[in-house]
Amino acid sequence: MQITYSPADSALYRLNPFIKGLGTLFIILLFSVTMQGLFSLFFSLVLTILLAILFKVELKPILISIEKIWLLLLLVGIIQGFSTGNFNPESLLIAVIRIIGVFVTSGIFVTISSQSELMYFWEQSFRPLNLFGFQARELALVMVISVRFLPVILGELDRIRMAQMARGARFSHGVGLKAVKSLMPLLIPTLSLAIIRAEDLALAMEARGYCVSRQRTRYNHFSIGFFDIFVCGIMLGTILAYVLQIRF
Amino acid sequence: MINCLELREIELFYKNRRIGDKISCRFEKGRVNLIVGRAGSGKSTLLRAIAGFHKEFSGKIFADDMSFDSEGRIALAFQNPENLFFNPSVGDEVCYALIQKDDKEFRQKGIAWLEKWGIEASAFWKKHPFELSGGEKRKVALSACTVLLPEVILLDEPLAGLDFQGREKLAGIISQIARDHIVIIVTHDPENLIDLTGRVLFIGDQAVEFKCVNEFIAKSLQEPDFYPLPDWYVQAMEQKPIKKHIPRLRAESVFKYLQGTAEDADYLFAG
Repeated sequence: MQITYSPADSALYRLNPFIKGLGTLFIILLFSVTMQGLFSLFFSLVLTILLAILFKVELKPILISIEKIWLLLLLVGIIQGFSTGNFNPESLLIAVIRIIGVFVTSGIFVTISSQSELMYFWEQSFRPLNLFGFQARELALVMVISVRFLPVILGELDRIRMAQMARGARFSHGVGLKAVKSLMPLLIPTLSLAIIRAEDLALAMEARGYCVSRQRTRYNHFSIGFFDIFVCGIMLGTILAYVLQIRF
Repeated sequence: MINCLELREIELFYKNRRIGDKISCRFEKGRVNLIVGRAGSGKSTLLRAIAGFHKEFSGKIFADDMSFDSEGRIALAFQNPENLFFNPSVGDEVCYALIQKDDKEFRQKGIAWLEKWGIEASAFWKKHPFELSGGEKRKVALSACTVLLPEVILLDEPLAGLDFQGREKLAGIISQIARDHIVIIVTHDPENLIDLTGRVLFIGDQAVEFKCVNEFIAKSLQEPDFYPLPDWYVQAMEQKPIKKHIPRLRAESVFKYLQGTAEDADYLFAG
């Protein structure tokens, strides 16, 4: 089951895309950087999930997808568990909850943001680069297209793997250079198909009048509402409380 | 060598969802066997299940009344097999599977097999695969996919995307290969393969039918909802009442007839 945009009607969905992105970044930092104890981290994770349920976010694909990162969870957990010399189960659990927290938060962001909202978020994030003559819109478009086509390329990779195996390819034999060489039947067709797809897309966009330097209008206009200000207030309040807690 | 591949009560599943009805049929050597059906009916999934790549199915597959193990006995060419090219020359591409199997005679075998697919080895052996025309690419790709000479050859839409002449030539080559192998093709163009086909497995929304090709075409002409044949074919066949044997209709003849260069409707059916 893939994590993709799943439309619904709730205050979280109606948030300004930039605030959505900022909030996501804030929660990710909360899970990954802050020095919280096990109970506090667990409480943050449960609160994130409960809020998502309250705001009608489709959580099933995200929770199912946690299974795909079990190896990462296990490895990081074990390494963190032994970080103090002797095995400490609390460190293991903290590391696992941190990763799950970041994963679930990113998943929620992808689930509640449409493609145009993602585009708007990237555009606004890269906006300061305009001061240096950098085309923020174009970079945002590149980011969105890459994210959009990632599942397509992965699907293609799987199809090519099966097709090459059907004609006698073996991917996991040899070591070093030989092992890399055995992956060529997979890598070259995938890369060449991705380039062909990119060229087709570029031609289709040009045929529909897309021009890099031209100023374009926007179909969706995003404004800042009361709930956006409320969310910003919570973020600022949390940061303030955290700083005060560290200082005193 | 296997003479007959039999599917008994095959029921396909995709992500725990059942696709279509139970399938029972016999694919025989000597003639091309077709699988047709609308998009999403499970044709390609059935091919993958026969080849052993799709495991979600119930039922049994038998080869000459013995349980069938696909390992090393099947070649499967997916749609657009030319997308799989990754070697710098046609020779390397065709011999890849033989080299993987440490076959010492890979060169001789590769050349012989490529020639069987209608590609002159001396002229094409050292060429880069991307230098070839569409039809040549398809032939090289299909020969590369089937070079291990397995007993069963499964082809997923081998004629798709080729022009009329390319289709004619490739269909002829496939029918030659079908003399010594069990060849099963998934196609959307059964009307192009009438001369070559033995039986047709039709996977429909309501039912699965296993018919002789003439019966299948006749039913499709009488009941357009059963299987939609192309308009040019249906209109040309309207020129003559359907008899038991359905003649093969060449698109070239239909084109000349419609242009008015052919005298009468009988020209369409002259072969």
